[in-house]
Amino acid sequence: MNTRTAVSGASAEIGVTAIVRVLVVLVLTLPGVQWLATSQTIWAVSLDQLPEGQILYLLSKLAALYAIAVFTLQLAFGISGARARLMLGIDLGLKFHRALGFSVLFLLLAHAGLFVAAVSVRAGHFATQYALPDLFGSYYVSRIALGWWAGVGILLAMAVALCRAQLKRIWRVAHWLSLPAAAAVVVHSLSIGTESRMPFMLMAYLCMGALLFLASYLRFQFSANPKNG
Amino acid sequence: MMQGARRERNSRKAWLLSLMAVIPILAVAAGLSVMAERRSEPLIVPAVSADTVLSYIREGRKVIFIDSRESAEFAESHIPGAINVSLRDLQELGPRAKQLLQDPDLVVAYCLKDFRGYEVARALQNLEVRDAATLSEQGINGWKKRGLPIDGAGSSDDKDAARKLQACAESPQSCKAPA
Repeated sequence: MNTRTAVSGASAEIGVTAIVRVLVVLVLTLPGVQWLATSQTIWAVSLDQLPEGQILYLLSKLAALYAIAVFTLQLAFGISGARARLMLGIDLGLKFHRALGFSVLFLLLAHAGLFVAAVSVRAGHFATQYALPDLFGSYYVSRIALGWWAGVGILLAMAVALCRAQLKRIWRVAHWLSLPAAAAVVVHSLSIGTESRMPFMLMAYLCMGALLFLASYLRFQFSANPKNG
Repeated sequence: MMQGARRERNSRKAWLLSLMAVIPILAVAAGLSVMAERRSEPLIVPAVSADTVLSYIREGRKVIFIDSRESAEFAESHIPGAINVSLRDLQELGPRAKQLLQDPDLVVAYCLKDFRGYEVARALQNLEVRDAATLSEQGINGWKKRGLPIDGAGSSDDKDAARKLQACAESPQSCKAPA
């Protein structure tokens, strides 16, 4: 490898790293901006003037928007592979991957828990109608069921990773369950999420897509040319 | 030695997972405690009863129903004569929304349980649409429970539903909640 090739390779790495950093910042910022943009009129009054459960509902939506953002980072981290992460200088290891995974789980449970709490508070009784998923119910019920199944998929993907020592080779295949779960999350979000098709959130989705595309590209690049990195 | 370390790791994982499972329960408890608190101020978006809405219709006043759900939900069922405007649509419409509504006496924004309905009603207030409200019966679910007519797939057509709603307004006893 001559000096010119080495220099151009290094500047390309710096460029990719910068793009990844910008995308990560946007993925983490835009959902919050969108939430604030839609919620500002609601926060501008005393809490006592809001109907029962409205705050819980708002917090549930915030948890959902960040669940998608953090889940995307987790997917990009996992898909990119160790060699690409090393090249980008973000090889934070398995502990970071686990921490992100637990953050996703926390946000998912917070989203579901706060939503059920909001509906329960408004109805005056525990909202049992969302306890079991019904994929063939009405439009809203079936889309909620999709989110429910996405949560199950993510839980399973996490569980097999935690039990990797016992599951030997199977865990790696089962861990890819996170991809269909991600698809279900996107459909759930885009079909019934209030903010999901608003400008800032659409920009966030574009950044998430770009991040996942970049992660996949780097993975294939490194698997095609094992000498890279 | 290694087994002990693994067992300890597993117990730590199980503890963490249990902690995660507790969060929704805590959220429900927090919500219920909020519900138990007494309200000291009036709601910023008033919640009107279906009876009040019917009395407005009976008196010939202009009532506009705004269904704030997704279009697919609206197609399944809606209050007769309702127009489908989500919060997203409202943000796109901006101040034009007020012109489109043309001085109504009452604007009732609703969804399933009025979470989205409240957001739309509040956004309408911010666009200086007066008399924006939600339903005290809590959305279309409460409306259906009251036995009031709905329109959409599998139910009567729009004209028939509107006629039924007018009949309910003129004789509220004729529209009773199903047993």
